[in-house]
Amino acid sequence: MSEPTISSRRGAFDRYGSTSPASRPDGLADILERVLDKGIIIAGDIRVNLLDIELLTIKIRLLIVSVDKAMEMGIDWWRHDPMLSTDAQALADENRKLRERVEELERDGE
Amino acid sequence: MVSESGTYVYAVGRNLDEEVLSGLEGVGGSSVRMISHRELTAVVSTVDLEEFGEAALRRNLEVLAWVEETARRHDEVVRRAAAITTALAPFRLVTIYRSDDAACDRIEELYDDLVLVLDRVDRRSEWSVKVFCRARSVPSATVEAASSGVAYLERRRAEIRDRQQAAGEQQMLADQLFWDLVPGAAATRRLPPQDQKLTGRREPMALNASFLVDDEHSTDFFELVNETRARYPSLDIEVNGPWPPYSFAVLDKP
Repeated sequence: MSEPTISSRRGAFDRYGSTSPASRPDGLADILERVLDKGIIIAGDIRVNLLDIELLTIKIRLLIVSVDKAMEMGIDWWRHDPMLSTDAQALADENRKLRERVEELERDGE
Repeated sequence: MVSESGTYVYAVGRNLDEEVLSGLEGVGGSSVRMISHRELTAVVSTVDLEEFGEAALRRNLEVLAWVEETARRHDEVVRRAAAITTALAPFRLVTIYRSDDAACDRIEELYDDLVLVLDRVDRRSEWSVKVFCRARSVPSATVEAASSGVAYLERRRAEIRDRQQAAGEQQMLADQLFWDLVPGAAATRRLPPQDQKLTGRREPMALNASFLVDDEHSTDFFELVNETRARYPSLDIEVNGPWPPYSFAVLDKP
């Protein structure tokens, strides 16, 4: 593991910048749990309905915290929420295709 | 009709040099710039309220692809800014003002608090430490055909019990490990462990912690982590960073 250099103007991008891919975490969850929940949280002039943001964070948090826990609690609507993952969309498409195929087979069987 | 614009604030820091960031693209595509207030500098960009206005945000924040793109760009700008100064306080995603002046007014209101935050994170970075429970080799249950339904159920029950016990022990170890690392940091924060679906790993995450570490002591911190690696062979330790000090740039009062 490389030692981070103390920032200076010269070669500064080594510290967080693109020159060291190893130190650039790509995990969306890692970024979201920081940019949505942490940092300086103050009201801007553009008021985002807090409830909306809360809902968003709750939705994302369900994914970040624990899918198992959510399912234990009987919460599974997020599984069908296309906003949460492209998986959900892919799943919906797959389901639709499968249904069509079943209908096709049933028709053939008659 | 000329569309309205706003000032999106990424972070506030000290000793930021605008030239170094020139040409960097902000959220929504316009260039990142800086506005100064007293000795503080805000890293901002102009955003179109067609995309970042109240109604638009309500819509856009429900679109994960938009949130992802915006969050990644926000993070990129914060990182670039953090790289050229020692003290930077990132703002939460989509903190937007009507104008540069309005942003400056808000910074003035919060001046004392921001200075405190900047002092706290000065010459320090955030390091993420995630701990995963290594998968244990469990004796295969399928080798021997179940002699009876009852025997099968009993064996399954025992397996589940063992697994729960092992998970409990590993959780305790992960907590211990966290405390072993605390002396190496100026401050710590624990984040909720992430779900396996997000980590893409089969092993559950037992610890998701952030450590604010003095830049000049980061090597010591890594050594500390390496020592714990040897001490906790059943845990897989992942260190990631440096992050801009997101988890530690928080206001003490709302």
